[in-house]
Amino acid sequence: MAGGNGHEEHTKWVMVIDLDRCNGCGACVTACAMENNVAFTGEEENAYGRGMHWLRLQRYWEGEGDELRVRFIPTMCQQCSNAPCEPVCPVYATLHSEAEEINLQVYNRCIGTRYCANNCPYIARTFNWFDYEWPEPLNFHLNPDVTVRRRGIMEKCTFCIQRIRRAEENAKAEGREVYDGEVQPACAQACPTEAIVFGNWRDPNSRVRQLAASQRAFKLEEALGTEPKVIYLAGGRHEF
Amino acid sequence: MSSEFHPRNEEEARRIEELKREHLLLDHKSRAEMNDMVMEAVLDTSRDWKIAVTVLAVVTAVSLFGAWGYMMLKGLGLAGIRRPIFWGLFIVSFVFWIGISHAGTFVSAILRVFKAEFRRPFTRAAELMTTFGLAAAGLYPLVHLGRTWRFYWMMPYPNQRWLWPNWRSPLLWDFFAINTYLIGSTLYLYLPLIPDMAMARDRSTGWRKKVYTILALGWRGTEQEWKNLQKAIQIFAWAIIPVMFSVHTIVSWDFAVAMKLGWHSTIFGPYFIIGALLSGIAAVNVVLFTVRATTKNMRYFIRPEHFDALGKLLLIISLSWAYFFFNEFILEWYGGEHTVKEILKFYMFGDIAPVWWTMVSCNVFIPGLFLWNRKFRRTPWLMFLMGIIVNIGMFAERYVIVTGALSRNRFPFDWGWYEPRLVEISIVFGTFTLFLLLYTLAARFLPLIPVWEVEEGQHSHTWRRVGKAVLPAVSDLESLD
Amino acid sequence: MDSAYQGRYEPRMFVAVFDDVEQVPPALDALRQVGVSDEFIQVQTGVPYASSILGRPKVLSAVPKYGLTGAFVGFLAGLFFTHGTAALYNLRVGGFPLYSVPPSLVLLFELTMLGLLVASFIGVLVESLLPPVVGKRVYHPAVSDSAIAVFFQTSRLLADEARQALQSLGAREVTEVEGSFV
Repeated sequence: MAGGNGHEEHTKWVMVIDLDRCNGCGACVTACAMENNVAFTGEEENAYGRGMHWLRLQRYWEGEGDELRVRFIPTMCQQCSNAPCEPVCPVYATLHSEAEEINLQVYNRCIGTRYCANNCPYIARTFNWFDYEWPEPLNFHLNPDVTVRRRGIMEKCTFCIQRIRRAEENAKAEGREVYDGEVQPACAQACPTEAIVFGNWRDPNSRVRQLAASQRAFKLEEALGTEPKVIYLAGGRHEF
Repeated sequence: MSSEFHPRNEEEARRIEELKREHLLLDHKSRAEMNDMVMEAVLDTSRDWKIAVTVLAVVTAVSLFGAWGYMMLKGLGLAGIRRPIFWGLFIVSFVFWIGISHAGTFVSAILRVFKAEFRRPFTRAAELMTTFGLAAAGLYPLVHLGRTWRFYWMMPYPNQRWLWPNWRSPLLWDFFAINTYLIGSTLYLYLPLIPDMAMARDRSTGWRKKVYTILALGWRGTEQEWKNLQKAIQIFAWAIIPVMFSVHTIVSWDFAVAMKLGWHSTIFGPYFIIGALLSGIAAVNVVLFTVRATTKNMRYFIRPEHFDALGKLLLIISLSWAYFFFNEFILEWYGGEHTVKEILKFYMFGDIAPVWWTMVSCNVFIPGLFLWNRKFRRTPWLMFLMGIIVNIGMFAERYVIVTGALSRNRFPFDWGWYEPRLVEISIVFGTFTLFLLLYTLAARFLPLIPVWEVEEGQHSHTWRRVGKAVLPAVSDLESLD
Repeated sequence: MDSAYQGRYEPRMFVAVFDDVEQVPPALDALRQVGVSDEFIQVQTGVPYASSILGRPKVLSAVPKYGLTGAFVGFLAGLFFTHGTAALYNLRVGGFPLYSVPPSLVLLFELTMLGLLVASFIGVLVESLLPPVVGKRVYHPAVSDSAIAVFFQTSRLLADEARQALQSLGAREVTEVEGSFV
């Protein structure tokens, strides 16, 4: 049980993102914000680098003139198996879930040292710089399944753990296994081109497993040894 | 053991007078005289001093605690930090103040271990700098927290859920290292102070007498008391040195253990220690000059010979810093990793370039240009200026390392630039006034000169005739036993 | 026996104050000649003189023992905070093992040193019996002006002889005082 990551009996949730299919529409970003009660910080703050989005579309331009191409990489917390953010937290506010094998953020435990964010090679974490208000009528949309965070704490993508839990509980109540495709994080659900697929790595027939077998599969900064659980399928130089 | 040495002729007498002017330990004044001089300095609570204390107290209250409270209420967003630069001026100043706090122990403990006699008069002034520097530094780990009011979760204490802090986190190492150093250096300041507190107790009245009596702990100077005190001072002088080294090493590990290019460097430990000593020794010059200029009778105790010695130390350390800097910078550059090159380019030519070039000039070029000169080193106000310049350079160094490295990372989409905002500038300014306030108060309460140590030094200096010259000789009181 | 007679044999405390340390060793020899042995003499100085300078029996200090004990206690506390607390609440981070040695060395070092330093300080207080809790201890304020105060306990019968001897050796004053050595 060295390292604590080898529980074969547990599910191992992974996400596959096909960059060839991603057209940069941003529906995932919006859906994620709605699902997870992500605060709106306003245009100015967002431009200053204080957007709270857990999922962002990295956009890179390539070429010039007629050759101008754009590349989108939707990035969120990569749910590393060897997460650099975890050991640096002095209060265990970010730690490894052994049941889901994902990277947890315990909002109530966080004291806001922001060390985890500095140590994240994917810059995936966002910090509550202020107490953010939801202007009417947006305050009515708040998802009751997700904690609303206050100022001074760190947050990040959770792989929509509330949805994972709900699916698991439903399956348990009906006395069955969670079937492939039952759990869909908000981003995957909202993606019009089905570029984002979510599933259980330990199920050999799952869609993620089949997609990840592609030769186009890669992980962000794989050489760092963080063992991310988001798998990208290379591609996507889009005409603009 | 007054030195019974009779000069043979006028030439010898003149030479001795010259040497005495140069070296405090040879310029014998009786203990009673020195006690009176020190006590006069302590009791000199003039109108100017009171005004200074009031102004500093008000400024600190508003600029540090006012701004900090306001920031706690509103949120950390009042500071200029943003993604990806999650640490800014607070951590820069934290590292800066930890660095300042190093020199006090360095000059005191290391010079004590090596029995460098010139240390005697200014050890206490330097140790006070350590304690107050740590007081300023110790605030930042609290200030920079998103939820300062939960800071005690970093402490190991048995709570309801039996949940302990994560001892793998460098921040927890910081917490322990700083506390060890703070407690250790405060006790190390206090131990040699006990006999001087007894001296102050014997020479004061009113509330001061009451307080000094408590602080003197009933010290009398019996053989057993001295023996125990000396043993403890010896233990402290040896043990506080590795603690001091560990503190700044651990501060550097906050950066060095991170998976962050520009931070993850194996040389950071010693590099930070040298940096700390550079800024710290420079700050000793600033403090000594200020004490000399503003406190009565200090011109007798603190002399050009001390600035000279500190100047040499500063030059050596400035050169060592240059050596480490070269190692850190050039070797990373030749490693050739793409992102690292982007970071180094950003240092030299990017938005942060003025800060980076300030660092290089203030830390290496300017000290290297002037400190060779003996006349320069022996001119206190010039050394004061040099101290300020080097500290500007060292503040710039920390600024570059903390915010500069964070500005560039593996994903160009998340490159950014950070500019400090009013609230954090105010808080940082407030810790400077806090340091000054504490020091100003201490300067009129604690004897700034360890009189008994100065006298001890004078006892061990005698005159000796070697051939045709007259030389001061040093015999060692402590190792006679 | 009348009380005046009795008083002459009762042990009393006297102090002789010297200005120069050179005067002290002969003065102590004189006291011993009178019949005051070293355990009834206490020398107070404003500077730490080695026993050999004063011609006194060697003084030992137990402070290092306190320091070592403290270091050991600190080390144990460090073991508890690193490996003990890990056992109390299993939490996994970053793929690290539950009990990882290298990072624990840092805390072990810090807590060992903290124990050493704090215990050495406590050692000074305990071994020197500071601060005084009960009774009045002998002290002469001239000590902090670097005069050397030699306190000795003897009967009034011998005091005159001692006084004469000490004064002839340069004592500034020899007087009877109240108080005890510790």
